[in-house]
Amino acid sequence: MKLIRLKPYIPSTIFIFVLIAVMGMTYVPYPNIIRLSESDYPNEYVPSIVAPGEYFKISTSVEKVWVGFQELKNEQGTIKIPEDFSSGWYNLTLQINGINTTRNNSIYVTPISVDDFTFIQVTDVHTPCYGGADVQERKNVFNLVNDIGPAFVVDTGDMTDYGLEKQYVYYGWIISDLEMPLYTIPGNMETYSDPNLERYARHLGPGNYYFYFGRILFVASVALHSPRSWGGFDGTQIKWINDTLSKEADLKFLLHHIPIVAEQGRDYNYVPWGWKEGHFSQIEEGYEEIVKILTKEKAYVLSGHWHGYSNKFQYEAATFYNTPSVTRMSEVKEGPRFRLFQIQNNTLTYDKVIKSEKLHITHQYTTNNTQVKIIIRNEEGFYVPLYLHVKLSPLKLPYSTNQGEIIKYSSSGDIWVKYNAPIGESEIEVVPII
Amino acid sequence: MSYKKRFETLFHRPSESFQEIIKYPCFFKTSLVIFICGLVYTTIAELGLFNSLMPHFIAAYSLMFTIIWFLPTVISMIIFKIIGKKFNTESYIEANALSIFSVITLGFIFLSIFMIYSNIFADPKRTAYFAMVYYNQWYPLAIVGVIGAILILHRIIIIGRIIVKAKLYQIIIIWIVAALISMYIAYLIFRGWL
Repeated sequence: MKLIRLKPYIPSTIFIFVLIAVMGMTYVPYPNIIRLSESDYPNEYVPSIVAPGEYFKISTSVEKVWVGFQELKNEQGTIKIPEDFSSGWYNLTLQINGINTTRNNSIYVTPISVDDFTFIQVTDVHTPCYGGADVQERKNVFNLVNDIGPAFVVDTGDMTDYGLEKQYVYYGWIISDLEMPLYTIPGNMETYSDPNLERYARHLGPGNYYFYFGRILFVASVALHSPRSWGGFDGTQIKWINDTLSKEADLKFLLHHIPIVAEQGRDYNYVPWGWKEGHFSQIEEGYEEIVKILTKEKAYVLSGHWHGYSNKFQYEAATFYNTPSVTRMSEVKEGPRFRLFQIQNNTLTYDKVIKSEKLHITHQYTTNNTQVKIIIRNEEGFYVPLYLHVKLSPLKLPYSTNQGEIIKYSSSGDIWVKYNAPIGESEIEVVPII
Repeated sequence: MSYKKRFETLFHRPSESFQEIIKYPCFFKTSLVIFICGLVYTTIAELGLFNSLMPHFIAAYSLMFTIIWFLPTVISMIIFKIIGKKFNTESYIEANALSIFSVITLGFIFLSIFMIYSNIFADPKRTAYFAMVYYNQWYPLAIVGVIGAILILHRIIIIGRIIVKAKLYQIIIIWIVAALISMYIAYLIFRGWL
């Protein structure tokens, strides 16, 4: 008799249980993230960046090596790029057990010195599924990034809005004019329609890997719970990060989408389990282990995820950067943001957020392509280190500049000018010496 | 009064519906209608908001819309019972469910208009979520939200007066307590878990 009184509540009870069951069934605690083995490096997704006269490493099982069409000496997995190599992309051909395999665009010979370079962190691009002005705006941001001339770019996730196929296609177009390597990791948005990150891997490669630039180590890591905004590290991932971050280097960076340690919790501020001894973390499993590793390695951690939030936070021996987004947000109405880092003699000397609408770089070439005037309008409120790339007629080599310093030129007429753009408007002219 | 009339609390005096619910409570049937409609709304909203159908988000958003009325309704009901009010539990829950359902339907109609505009006619075309969150186009929906909130408050008071026979100050205090507890629980689920 009493059970009959519960009849009105049967549909609502079943409904709520079904919803919770669907959420449970579609939850993927640890997506199938790809970790590269030593023999997989370098490849088109994780290219080696190397300056002429410098070295890159490959697996010791490789018998012969060709960079482009030139065979190079392999000294137990260490390859030296000759001084006369032009800057740009090269295919890498490896002979293993007598069989040759070619990896396209796997070596980038950089014009920039490992002793003084910049790199850029972009994050939360949120490429939409329709084209038009929204995609064009993102393309303009990457064009500006390209004009600033970093040695490489890292994208710390959420490059698409929901990980849809057409969003990856647009993202491919957005990044298509970058001259330098781009290293990516997935964010939680990529898991929304692709919980195991299979589509991500097809378009952008592995999620866990490392690369060096000179003596600086960069480790890219995924710790996502599809489709949640929170992250976590399982035992395998912790071990992989520990092993990788403990490699020898003068400076160590971890690229990670979700903030591991932050001064504030943004709109997650009132979630009690996010608060740890005076700071906030959106990491659940493995939090203590990862913080211990980062502290031990004195690592710099580059994260995104919180869009409008810009912060640098020192916790014990580790430094945590939260970089605002390329996509606009309610609290970032003015325009896209990204962070520019400069490393000089293995010391981090510059870490500013660039407001894309406050920095303009315009190239004005003469009609015969023998001179260029570069007009820079810098309203950021601080100087901006630039490595400007111009392409002039090779017939008029050599060239000189009225400001900055030509750090590299090639016989093809490619010239790189190092210039610290002061606040306000400045002009650089690159002209033939004669 | 026909059964389907009780779904029209938005268009006539809601007290008529609530009197009918006191006489003939039928939360079993009403909840079925609400949940089926809720799933349809959520599925359509997913398409318009994200241009993609993702089962976990259909489930999560359906759960959210259930929680935001079900939790405060149950909490307020328990408090009313604790302070000694005698009323029919089924009628109380059904009346609250119908109140919020009518307002959610109104909101869904406005969201649908916005989704059609945003995905098809706007220049540039944007998914509705993208337009609202990244380009601040949520003001018209916020106005509908405020109107909806006023309508819900009005109905909460009527339900308290007609079904529970509580005093106005009791209704206000108990619903503030119930709403705050529920909002925090919903926040913990949707910010702390999702």
